[in-house]
Amino acid sequence: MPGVEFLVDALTPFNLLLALAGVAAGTVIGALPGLTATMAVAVLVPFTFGMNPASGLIALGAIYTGAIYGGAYAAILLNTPGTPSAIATTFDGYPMAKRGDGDLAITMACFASVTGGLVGGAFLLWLAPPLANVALAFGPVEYFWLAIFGLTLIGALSEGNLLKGFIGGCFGLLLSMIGVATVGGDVRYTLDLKMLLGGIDVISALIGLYCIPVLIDLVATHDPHLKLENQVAGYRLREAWSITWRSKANLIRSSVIGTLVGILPGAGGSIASLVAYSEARRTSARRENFGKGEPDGLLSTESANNATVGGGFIPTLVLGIPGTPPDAVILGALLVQGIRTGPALFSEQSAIVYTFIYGLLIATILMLPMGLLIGRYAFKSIVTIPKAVLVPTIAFLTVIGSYAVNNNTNDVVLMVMLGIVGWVLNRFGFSPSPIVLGIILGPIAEAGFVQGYLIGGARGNVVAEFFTRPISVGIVAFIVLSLFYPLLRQRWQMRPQAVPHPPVASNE
Amino acid sequence: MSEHSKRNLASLISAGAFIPLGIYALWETRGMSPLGSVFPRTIASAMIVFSVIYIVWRWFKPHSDDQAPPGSTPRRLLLVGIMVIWAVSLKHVGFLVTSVVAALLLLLVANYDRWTAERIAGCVLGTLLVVGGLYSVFALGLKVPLPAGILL
Repeated sequence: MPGVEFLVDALTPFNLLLALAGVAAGTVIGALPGLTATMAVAVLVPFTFGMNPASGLIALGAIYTGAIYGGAYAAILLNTPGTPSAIATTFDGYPMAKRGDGDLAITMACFASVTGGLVGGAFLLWLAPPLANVALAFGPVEYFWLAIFGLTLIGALSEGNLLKGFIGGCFGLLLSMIGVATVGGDVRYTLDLKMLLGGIDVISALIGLYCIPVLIDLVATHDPHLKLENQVAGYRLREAWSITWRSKANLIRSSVIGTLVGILPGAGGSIASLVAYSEARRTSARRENFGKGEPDGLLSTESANNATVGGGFIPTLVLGIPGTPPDAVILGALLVQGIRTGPALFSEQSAIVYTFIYGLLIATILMLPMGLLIGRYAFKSIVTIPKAVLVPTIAFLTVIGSYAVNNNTNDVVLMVMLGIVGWVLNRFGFSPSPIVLGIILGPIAEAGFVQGYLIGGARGNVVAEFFTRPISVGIVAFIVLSLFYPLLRQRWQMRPQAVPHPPVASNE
Repeated sequence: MSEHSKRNLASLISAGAFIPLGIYALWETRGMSPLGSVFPRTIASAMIVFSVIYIVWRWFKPHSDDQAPPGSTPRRLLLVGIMVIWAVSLKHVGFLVTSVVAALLLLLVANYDRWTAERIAGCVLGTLLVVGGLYSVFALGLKVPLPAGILL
């Protein structure tokens, strides 16, 4: 095991305390809608300036990994992703909570997050330098295709209502174009309103589209927000472990996808979880249950988003290119500490790097008891708080969460407006998920497409630019596979079964 | 007109609303640069095409996707009204005051049980504690500069 001699340094009481406190703080911050992992790391980064570099990094890594996991609480219990990485967790987490399995979903999310975190950390430990080259091989065209791959999920999320899913996806993509275009600088669809110049913030849109409709329907009836199945009073550990173990292949595959997507600068946990969800659904025997509370869906998204933590550190440490937004903050903290990232970091400053990586792995392990404890408390709070108190509490969180993203009241107004539009559209059969996919993936797809188009034009062959690069071809193959796999599978299943040969009579 | 037909019509109208939206999005691209307009044009055209296909399809094969939501419409409208006023007045009146007032109003809207002195005290105290606690976390702990407005 590389750098195993530094494991002892990571196990000092001070580092263990930092890991535990970091995970707890990150989990709580991540659980609050609107407070992202980036914000959690940014807010707490000054506390690490006085520490030695390895301890500071352990604290930041623990906060980061805790915040990504914490995002699952709000996604499962309130249908609001606590962080953008938890978007796909709402697809199956909230339906599970609605049917009375909220506690089970929280426990499974913890198992999946720990697994994802450990896989991502293991890749960081063993394969960081070679994998960092993957980040360099990804150009604008690959990002474009990756975004399109994410958009193919619209088909999965709109079963039985595909056209409305596509219309919703297009609506989301158009919403993502509001403001100043990243390529070209055009001012688009602002209706001459200053408040729209900056575009629609993804987090405010998420909170609005997912949480406001829940609030609107919550006040309309006397029914409790979530069912409590048979007054189960426990973590449902055995049940959660049994389901998680059964889904180990899905868990590992999703964790690897999360790590690989995490390596790509700018992609992040939301895309990782969407891609992993898409793959989990494609390969599942219960694909029709996805979006209706399928545990495999929840396991795939939660393992993938936590795997991006380790994956994101790979280009950050090896190339000095942040893999995810929180990594950018951590990179800044590294520079303050006087650490120069780069390919030589693993050899020249191995004490710091390996102590940090082991510390991150330890923090991920500590997330298991800490996450289960906080998760249980969060679940109990949501199901026991009277609705009359729950509604103002959620409403307050939506308002303060959308404000805190940019410290801008316009985001709150946009959040409420999008929430109302989302509720009306939902009432007419337009699910919010395709709209959200469009908002998130639109800018990535557009920037990739336009840049690829320009590069292809300069090289004299736009089509070749998009369709002949090896990684692009691979992603396009996955897109085609995920689009047509259901049809192919249907055809295979419709084939007449071979008539078994009658057993040969034995003379014995 | 039967209930099913009415719902199908509502579904058609909701999909149809995206056609003028798409046309507007296309119209707006006239003033954009070629690079800035290629994506909006593609997406707006796709949205129009999908909407037209949906309308034609459902015209000949009626089916309703809309769900009549159960529960109290006045309460829904009250919640929406409170949220809109809250969001708009944050900057001018102040975050703390608007939030406390809005939270207490939402408490009234969300309550279905009979009001007793104990319940009133419990709910009001609970709401104020939650709002105050979260406000302190954000304003004091996380140093989020919340707008003070004319009141606070």
